[in-house]
Amino acid sequence: MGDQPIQQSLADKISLFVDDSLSKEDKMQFISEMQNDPAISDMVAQEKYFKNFIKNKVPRRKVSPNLIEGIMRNIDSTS
Amino acid sequence: MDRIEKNRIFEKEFAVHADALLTFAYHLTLYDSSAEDLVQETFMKAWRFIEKYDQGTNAKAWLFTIMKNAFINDYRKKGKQPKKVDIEEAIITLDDDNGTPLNSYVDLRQEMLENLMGDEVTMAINSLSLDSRTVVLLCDVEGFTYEEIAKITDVPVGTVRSRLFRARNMLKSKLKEYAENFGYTDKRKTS
Repeated sequence: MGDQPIQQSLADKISLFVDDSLSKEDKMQFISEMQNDPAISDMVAQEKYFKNFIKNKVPRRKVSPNLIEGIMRNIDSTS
Repeated sequence: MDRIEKNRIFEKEFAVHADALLTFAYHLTLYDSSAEDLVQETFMKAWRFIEKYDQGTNAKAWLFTIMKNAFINDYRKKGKQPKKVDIEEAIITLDDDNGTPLNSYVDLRQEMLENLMGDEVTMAINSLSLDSRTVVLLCDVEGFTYEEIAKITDVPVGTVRSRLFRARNMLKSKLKEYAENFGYTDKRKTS
């Protein structure tokens, strides 16, 4: 497929599939399409990889104990 | 609801999401210190309205909604964050800098991503408009469903879908650019 754009409806379906947002019926139909077309299956694999890549690469920020203590103090002072 | 019960809900159901909230806050405000202020404001509002929260339901989505509203309604209005003009909503088919149509699928290969670090991903996400980075963070990083994102952002599910689709394409284009700057290329182009 290279850099060739694909039909947006297909791209949309891939996103919905990867985000687990297709209806049960559409999901079954799409799985069948994937099984019959290795190019679609490859695009789905790339999209899943991209989604996991973003999740894993965005650093989780850690709340400091000072921040939590400050919040608790503020709550106490307003209660 | 007595104080003991409020404390229990706060500790067991709210505080466990503090790191996720701080991560989201950082990507909204783009500053560490502002992010901490926003987290504090979010928890203070959650405490104030704790009786409106249905115990045992989706505390994370409830807190994210409070944070999103606090940022839009209070924080940004106070002038703590320069408002960007969000052209993505208005221009659906505009080409980006690489000439990639934003309404078509950007094919970014796994091999090109493998050597990118968290810093590049953070920069790429932060370069997106507020609406775009919000949907990417809520869906891909926090794992919210389209329906939950629609409630948090107060837009229809269809808008969430289209924003997410465009945001991912823009993110791919940006990351592709970074990867190419590091010398990585899509090998299929040369074969």
